[in-house]
Amino acid sequence: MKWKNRVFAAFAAILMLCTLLAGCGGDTNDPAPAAPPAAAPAPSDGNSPAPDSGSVPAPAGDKTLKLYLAGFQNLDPQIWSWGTHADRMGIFEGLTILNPDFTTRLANAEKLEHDAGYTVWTATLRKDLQWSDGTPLTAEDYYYSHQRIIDPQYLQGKTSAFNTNAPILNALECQKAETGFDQVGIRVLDDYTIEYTLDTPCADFDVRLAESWALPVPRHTIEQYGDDWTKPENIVVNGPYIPTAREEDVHLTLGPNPNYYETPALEEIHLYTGTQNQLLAYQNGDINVATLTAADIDGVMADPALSGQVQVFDTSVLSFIGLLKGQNDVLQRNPLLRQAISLSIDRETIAQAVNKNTVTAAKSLVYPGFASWANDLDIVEYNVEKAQQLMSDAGYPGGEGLGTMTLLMSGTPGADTLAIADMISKGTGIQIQIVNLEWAAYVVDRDAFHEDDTWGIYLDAWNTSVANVGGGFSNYQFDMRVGNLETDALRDFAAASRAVAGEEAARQTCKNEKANEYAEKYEKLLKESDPTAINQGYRELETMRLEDASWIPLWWGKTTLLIQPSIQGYVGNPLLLNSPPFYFKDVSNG
Amino acid sequence: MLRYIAKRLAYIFLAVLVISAITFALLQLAPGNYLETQRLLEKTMTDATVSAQMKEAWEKFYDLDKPAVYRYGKFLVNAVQGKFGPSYKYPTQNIEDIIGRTLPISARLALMAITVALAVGIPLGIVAAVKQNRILDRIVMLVSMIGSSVPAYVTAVLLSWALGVALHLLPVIGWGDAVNYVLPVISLSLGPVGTVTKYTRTTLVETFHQEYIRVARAKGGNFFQVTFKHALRNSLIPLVTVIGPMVASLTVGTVFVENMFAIPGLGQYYASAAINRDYPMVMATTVVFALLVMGMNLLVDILHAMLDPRVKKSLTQKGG
Amino acid sequence: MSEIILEVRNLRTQFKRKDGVVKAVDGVSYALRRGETLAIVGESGSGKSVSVTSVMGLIRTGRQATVQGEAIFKGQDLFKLPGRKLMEIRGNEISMIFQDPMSSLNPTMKIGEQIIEPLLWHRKADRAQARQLGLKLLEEVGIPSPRERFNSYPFEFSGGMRQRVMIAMALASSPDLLIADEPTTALDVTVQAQILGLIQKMQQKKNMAIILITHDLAVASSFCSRVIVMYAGHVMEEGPMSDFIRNPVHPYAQGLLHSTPVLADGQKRLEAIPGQPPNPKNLPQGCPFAPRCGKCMDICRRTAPPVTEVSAQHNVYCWLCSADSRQGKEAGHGG
Repeated sequence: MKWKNRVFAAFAAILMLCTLLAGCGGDTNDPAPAAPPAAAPAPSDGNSPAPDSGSVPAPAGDKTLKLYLAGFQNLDPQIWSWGTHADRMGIFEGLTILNPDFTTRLANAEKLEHDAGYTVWTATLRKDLQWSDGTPLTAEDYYYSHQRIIDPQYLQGKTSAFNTNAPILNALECQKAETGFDQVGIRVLDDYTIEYTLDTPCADFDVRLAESWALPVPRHTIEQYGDDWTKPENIVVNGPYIPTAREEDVHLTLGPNPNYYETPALEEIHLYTGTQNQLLAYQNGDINVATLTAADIDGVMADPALSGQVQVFDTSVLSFIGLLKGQNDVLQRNPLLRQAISLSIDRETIAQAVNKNTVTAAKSLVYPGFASWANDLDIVEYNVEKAQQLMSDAGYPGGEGLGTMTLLMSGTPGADTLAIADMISKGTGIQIQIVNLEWAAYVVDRDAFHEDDTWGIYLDAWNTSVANVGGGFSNYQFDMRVGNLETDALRDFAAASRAVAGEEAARQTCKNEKANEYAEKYEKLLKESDPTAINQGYRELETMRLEDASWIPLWWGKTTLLIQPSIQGYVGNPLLLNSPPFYFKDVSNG
Repeated sequence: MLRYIAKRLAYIFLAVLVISAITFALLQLAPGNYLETQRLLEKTMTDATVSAQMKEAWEKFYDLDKPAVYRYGKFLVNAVQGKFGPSYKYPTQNIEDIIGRTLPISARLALMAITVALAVGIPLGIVAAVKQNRILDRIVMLVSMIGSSVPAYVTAVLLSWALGVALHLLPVIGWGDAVNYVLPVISLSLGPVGTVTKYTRTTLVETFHQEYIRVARAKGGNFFQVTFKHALRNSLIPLVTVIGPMVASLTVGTVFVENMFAIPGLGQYYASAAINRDYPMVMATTVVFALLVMGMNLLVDILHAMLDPRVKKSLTQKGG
Repeated sequence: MSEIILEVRNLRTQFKRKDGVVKAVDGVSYALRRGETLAIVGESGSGKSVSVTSVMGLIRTGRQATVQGEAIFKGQDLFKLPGRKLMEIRGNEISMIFQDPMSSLNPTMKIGEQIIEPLLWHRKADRAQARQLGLKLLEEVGIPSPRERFNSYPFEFSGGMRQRVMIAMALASSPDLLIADEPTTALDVTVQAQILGLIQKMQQKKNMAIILITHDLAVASSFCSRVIVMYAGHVMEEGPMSDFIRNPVHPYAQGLLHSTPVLADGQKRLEAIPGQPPNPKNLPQGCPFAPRCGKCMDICRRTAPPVTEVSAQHNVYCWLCSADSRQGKEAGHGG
């Protein structure tokens, strides 16, 4: 080859190598596999070159907030979608709003009272409430809104966002069309007073009232525009901000609502969805709050300007291990095996070294922010010796006689998944085979009953939106009985296919003493009204549950954000993906 | 010619029918259920398990309680009228409205990318062909090879960093103003530029060796007359057949770019619909894209016939 | 005697290939007068096409090809003219017809357009006038229904028709010199005669000089008044056609004539010239025909023969002739 050709060939080869390396940087897995973004996979998150002095110097506050949300597809707060969170953050406002410690303060209500037994709650509205078009907002609006979300005639076929944990009398029955809405425990006493009657005592019903299901909606607008009532040109709101422009599901602009009873601090809010590398957009000034992926963190921390703008927030997203259901129920029958598995995982090391402190090791299935005792239970720990001892006690020393255990997960196994598999193998001696599936296929496999010999565990993530201890116990999630069902019951449970009644029926056939004890205790606790007793009761339940080890906590996710220094009042909401602020009106920017 | 077009249209109709049937069948077989994926995807919403009642009402709303054949039939009847009904994820909108709003945007992006590809690729190809085997030719071909090899999402990130963060010339997200077009269109067009350049060069080089080019020169034609009037004409006609499918695949392939730059196009709906098992949306967008691709192919063939008299003759003579 | 319109002096065209230098034309000289018809005759590979395309300036000179010598057309050396000027002459004062009419016409352009291009490019007429001229030309070259055919495409014509179109195209600007490179080789014999007749007719009408390149001596003799015989890039013999036919001097020319079948001759066996033409990259020293020449002498192998004038305007490049003229025709060759 002539020398010129050789030079060209070398040049081309080097160029290609560079492009390859640029595309391969960083791993594709986010530490908390809770909610994959509802769009194309993010192939090369680690692609951004190290941020350097090319970044924009922090601008003075421009009274805007620009950030990415996980979605805002439907702004009707009563039809279920991520949009209901956006609504709650500042487009609509309910009777109460949350404080960062999950107590509440009054919002639309100027007074909220309850009886001694916490079963009758009375809310008195402010007198100066208006919709954004000037129409006065009264108790009738709240009545209409509750009816619309509970009475199945209204939303017909659209998934209602009603939180069935709000124990309003006859609400569930009405949803199931067993009774009319007039039997539901909501009454309007006068133009400004609403009375709620509950069927069980609920000491934190005020927190329930802060949730998105309880947001009021404008009857006059809905009746006028029907399905189009949430379009920016039609929408009427009662919150501090109102949508002014919208581009499909990618960009939503909010402006101040002039008829809100306070003057909000921001002049414009821009919400985006997508999988743009947020670091780039942040550096370019297109957004002023950015979520960082694990791959970005090293680069950001190395930059003196940017590292000062980092804020880390805890989230209540829990990564955990559950049991697969199948003909081979060796795990369901052997609590010692389950405990051994839990003991063999060094959560601290994974949290620090593997996931670079983007997660916190979990010691309980209950979020520490909801219960002070969550980290003091001393049941979940890392102890290989104990694990091996338990394996022998169970009759499978060193994992002998067990066969290969399946570890089911969705997406691509990241370093943390591999670490878990490795630790379990080394600590218990059990052979592990990782099976990773595409999201929807994973969902099917996770819930299915395996007729073949497949047995093992699955990795999953979960989050509650019920902002108290009880949230970690309601519905079947982490119910002790599920992990202790016999084969036939397991099959029935899986076959119920998420139909609540079917699952409930299956659970009730549980024959395990401890699990049934747990269930009875829980039922009793729901009727308890004394907050201290409630707290103690949950603590005991959690202790039982953790010892049972059929649900094994791994770690809590953390969100690492870059926030412009001029932005004040931003507190990340642990209940939501990527920790957006609790409320937009708490945030100011210059 | 008209008979030819009519025949093609009939084929297209048939093909779309078959495609819709296959897609429908595949969707029925695919594992996963919308309610389940959403329940866990967005578990943060509420612990409220959809009560049996609501699940039934939801299934009734989307005809999931009826047999598959019924649903498919209804889909066909509606599709012919251009109606697709609401999707799972967007129960308050009709899919045809969503498509009507977003398809033009994706198509616009794709068309702009093609225009850039042609405006840049053809001249580059001409330069490379005229300076065949010399330095300029080699450089142009190397650049075009890089362009068509590097994937759009890599280019998009690199460009965002270079033109946005490093040089502060452009916003890296957003839509609406002219500036928002720059980065997405460049990212999308790099691949096509490479293809067009390579193609133009190859066909031009071939054409230059043809006898009639020598004749044209013998007639006293200058460089422009020979290249543009004689050579390009013959070279570009086959290029038309390459462009048609390119536009179609670009329209579908804008997904990454739309996602990255927060562009309200159809790509994001299509992509998330598949992941979320939003069947009505998948069916509708598949049918629309199939129509688009085949329509483009037909257009291109007609264009080709109009440009190349030999093809035109064969089409009009035989009646297709 | 009309004036000399084209004089080629010592034309050399070389191509540089990876494995050597190809001397396609190695010292060719001739002169052509207005209204004269010159035939350049030779085997394939003898350099006849290359010599005229060199004169036309159609060879892309540069690293890979060089053209040396002089080609003086109407007083100007074509090789010294800048590109633009040469372009003005091509298709205008000098036109060329090529061998294969199928590939010589642009398949995607109407023939009418192609015919009038020389007129438009050389700004000799506007579009409307050019169209009129084009129609007339079509009629003259014998294409029926010229009005419709003007808008037809090449693939709609037969071979003979296409060549007529080529002729029309070449004659559009009434050139002073027409170069026809094997215009009838690709056609049937009957069509051949028609085309040649047409060219002759046009020539008489416009008093054009014509260079006709062919390997067919019969065609050459019926058409041209002068002939050049080329072999391996060299001229072997040149002279008036009538002289040449009666009295070919060069052994190669004699061989050519003897290998041309003549119907009247009855059963005479065709004599082929033994051997092959030489490899152009490896031309022998001396006379290029030496390896095949039956009358080759020692000196032929060593040195290229000089030119000898054997009669008026009749030149031969052969040592035999030199020997003859020196020895006064003692060897008894030639007629």
